Amino acid sequence: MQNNSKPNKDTLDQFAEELDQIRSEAMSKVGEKDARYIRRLIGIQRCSEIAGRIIMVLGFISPALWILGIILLALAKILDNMEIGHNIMHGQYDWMNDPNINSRNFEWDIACDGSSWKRYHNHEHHTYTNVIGKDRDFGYGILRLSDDLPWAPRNRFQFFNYLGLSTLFEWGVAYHEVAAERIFTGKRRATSNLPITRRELRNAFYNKAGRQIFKDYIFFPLICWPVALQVLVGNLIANLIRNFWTSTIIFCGHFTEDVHTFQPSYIESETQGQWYYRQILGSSNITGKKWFHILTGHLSCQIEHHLYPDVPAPHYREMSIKVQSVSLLRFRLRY
Amino acid sequence: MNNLESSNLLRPTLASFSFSLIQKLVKVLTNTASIGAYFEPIIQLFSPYWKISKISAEITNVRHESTNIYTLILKPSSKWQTFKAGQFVQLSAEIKGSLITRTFSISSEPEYFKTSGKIELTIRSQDNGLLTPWLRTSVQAGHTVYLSQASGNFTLKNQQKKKLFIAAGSGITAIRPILKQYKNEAWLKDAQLLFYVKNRTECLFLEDMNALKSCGLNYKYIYSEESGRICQQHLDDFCDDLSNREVYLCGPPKMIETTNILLKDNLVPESNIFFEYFGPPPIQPTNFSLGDDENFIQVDYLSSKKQVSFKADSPPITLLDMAENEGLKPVSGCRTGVCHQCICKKKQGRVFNIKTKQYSDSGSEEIQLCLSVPISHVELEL
Repeated sequence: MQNNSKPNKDTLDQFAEELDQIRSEAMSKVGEKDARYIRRLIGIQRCSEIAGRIIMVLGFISPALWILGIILLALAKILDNMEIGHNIMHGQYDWMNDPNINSRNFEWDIACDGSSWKRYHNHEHHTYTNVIGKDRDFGYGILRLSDDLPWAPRNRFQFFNYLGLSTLFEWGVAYHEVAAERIFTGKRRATSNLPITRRELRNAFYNKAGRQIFKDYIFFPLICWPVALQVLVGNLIANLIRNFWTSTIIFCGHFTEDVHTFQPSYIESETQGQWYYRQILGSSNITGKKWFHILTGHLSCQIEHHLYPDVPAPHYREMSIKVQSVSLLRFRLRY
Repeated sequence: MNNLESSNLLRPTLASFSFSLIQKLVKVLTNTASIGAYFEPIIQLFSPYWKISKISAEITNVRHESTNIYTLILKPSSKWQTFKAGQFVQLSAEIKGSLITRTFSISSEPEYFKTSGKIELTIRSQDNGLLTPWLRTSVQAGHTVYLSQASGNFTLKNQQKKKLFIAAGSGITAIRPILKQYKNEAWLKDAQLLFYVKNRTECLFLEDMNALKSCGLNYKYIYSEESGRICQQHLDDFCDDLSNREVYLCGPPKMIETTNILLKDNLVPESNIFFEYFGPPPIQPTNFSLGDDENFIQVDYLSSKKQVSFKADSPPITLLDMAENEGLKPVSGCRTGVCHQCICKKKQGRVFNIKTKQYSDSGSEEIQLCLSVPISHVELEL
C-alpha cells in the first residue's frame, strides 16, 4: 500500500523526542549482561556446529543420527546468521571493544561477503526502507509486492519465483550488490557510490562464495571420504533449511499486507521524526516465545530493529511495548 | 656450504608457507581470524574470564597509599614473561561488559616478581576517568584483569654515570623499580631523586625511600602546593653537578616539557636526558575545552606512516574527511554513522562523536571515523 500522507511536523518532532528517550533508556541498561549473552550464544552456536558435523558423519549407524546432525548444523547456521552475525554486523556490540565481536571483523557462515552486506543492507535498506526504486530489498528486483510496481508478464510465475528465491536465498543475498552494480551483466550504472573498485567487489564475491562452497561441499565431504555423499547432502540440506527460515522471517517482516511503500519524493529533506514514522510503516512485527525471537535474530521485532538498528537486539522486546504505546498515542497507529 | 645455506633458507619458507596455508584453511572453515578466536566463546562457556589473546592476572590485594592513590598487587598467569625495571604494561578490565585498556608503569621491581610471582601497579584515581576510579572502588582480591607483555624504553642505560631522577606525582611508579632493583649497586650511592608531590598527605613510597637512603640514595620531596613546580632554584638547591649527570624524568607532559628546557639551559646534553610521558587526565565532558598545552592537534595514521597537525581553533573536521584530504582511502560507506563500515581502531587519544555528542576515552577502542572529531593527539590504525 502506498503512503503519501504525513502527520504534521510538531507531532513528528515530539514523536522523535519520545523515541530518542526510549533509546537512551535502553542504552543505559546495555552492559555486562549483553556481553555475557552474546558470548554464550556464540559458544552454544559453535558447539552446535561441531556436534552437528560430527553426528552427521555417524549417520551410517542410523539415519536418525544423520537427521539430528543436519538439524544441529542448520540451527548453528541460523543462529550465526540471525542473532549473532546480523546483529554484530549492525554494530550492536561494538561497545564491547572485543577484537572478534565487532562489526568490522565479524564474518558470518553464509555465501554473502560481510562487507558487501554491510554496504547495501545497513545503508541502502535501513535508510531508504521501502522507498520504491531506492530499496532493492523490497522484492529484490524479482518479486512484485506492491501495486506501485508495474505488472510484467513474469509476475505470473511469482509464486515459483518466490520459491526459487527462498531456496537460493543465501545466493540472492550474496549476489545483491554485484547485481545492483551490474558487475557481470547489464548496463553499467551511470552513478555509483561503491567505495571500492568493481574489481574488488567481484573478487570479494568470488572469494567468499568460493570459501563457503569449498567448506561445505568439498572439504568436509572429502575428509569423511567413505561417507562423503552423506555429508555433502547433509550440508546441502542444512543450508537449505537456513535459507527457507531466514527468507521466511524477512518476508514476514517487510512484505506483509499492511506494509507501506513510499515514492522517492516522499523522503526529500526528511526529518528524524519522519524517518522514524516511515520505519514503523515500512515494517511488521511477529509475536512468539523467547526461543523464537532468538532464532529470528529478533527480526521478529522488525519495527524496533528499524528504529534502533544498533541497539543490542535482546532489548527490542522491552522497547517494543514503549514504542507501541507512543505510536498509538501520537498517530493512533497500532501494530 | 652452498647446500647448507639453501636448506637453511628453505626451511623457514616452508614453515611459513605451511603456516599461512593453515591460517587460510582456518579462515575458510571457521570464518574467524584464528583457531583460538573460534574456540574462545566455547571455552568461555566454562571459564568466563579466559581470553585467547590476553594474559589474565589475578588481583591478590589492593593497597591504599593515600586518599586517591592505590596499588594493585597482581599475579599474572604463566604466559606473562618478565620485565625490566621502568617498563609499563597495558591493563584491561571489563567494565559493564566493555573491555577498557589503560597503560601503567610497573611500580615494583623485577626481583620482587622473581621471588613472589607478583607485580604492583600504583595508580592515581582520576576524577573523570573510567577505569581508575572503578579499579579503586569496585575491585576486590580475586578479581581477574588482563595484562599485555611489558614494554617501554625507560630503563637504566648504564651503571657508570652519576644519576639524577626527577619524578612528579605518579611518575614515581617508573622510577621506584629502578631504584629498588639496583639498591646494592655502587651507582646508587651517588644517585639523587627529586620528587614532586602535591602536599604532605601524598608522600608516596616514603618508607621505600627511607630504606633506599641507607643504601646511599639522596632524595628530597618537594610539595608543589608550597614550593611550586620545578624551577631553576629547586635544581640549584638540590644538585650542584647537574651537567655531569644522566637525568631520568617521569611525570605529566607539561612537567617533562619544562624540565627538558631547564636542563638544556643548564647544559645537560640531550643524550643524557631520558623521560617517560604520563598522559593528561581525561577532559571533563561538561565544560569541554582543549587543554592549554594543546594549541595544535595532531593525528597519526600508524599503518600508512603519515601524520597531520592543525590549529586547535580551526573548524572541526571528522577523521574520515581528514584522512581523505591526506590522500588515504579508508573504507567508508554512508558517512552518517549508520553503516559501520568506516570503523577504525583508535590506539589512543580523545575524540568527540558528533552523533552521540559524547567524548571518548583516551584509550584504545573502535571508533566510527565519519562521526569522530579529534580533540587531542590521536593515533589511528589506518
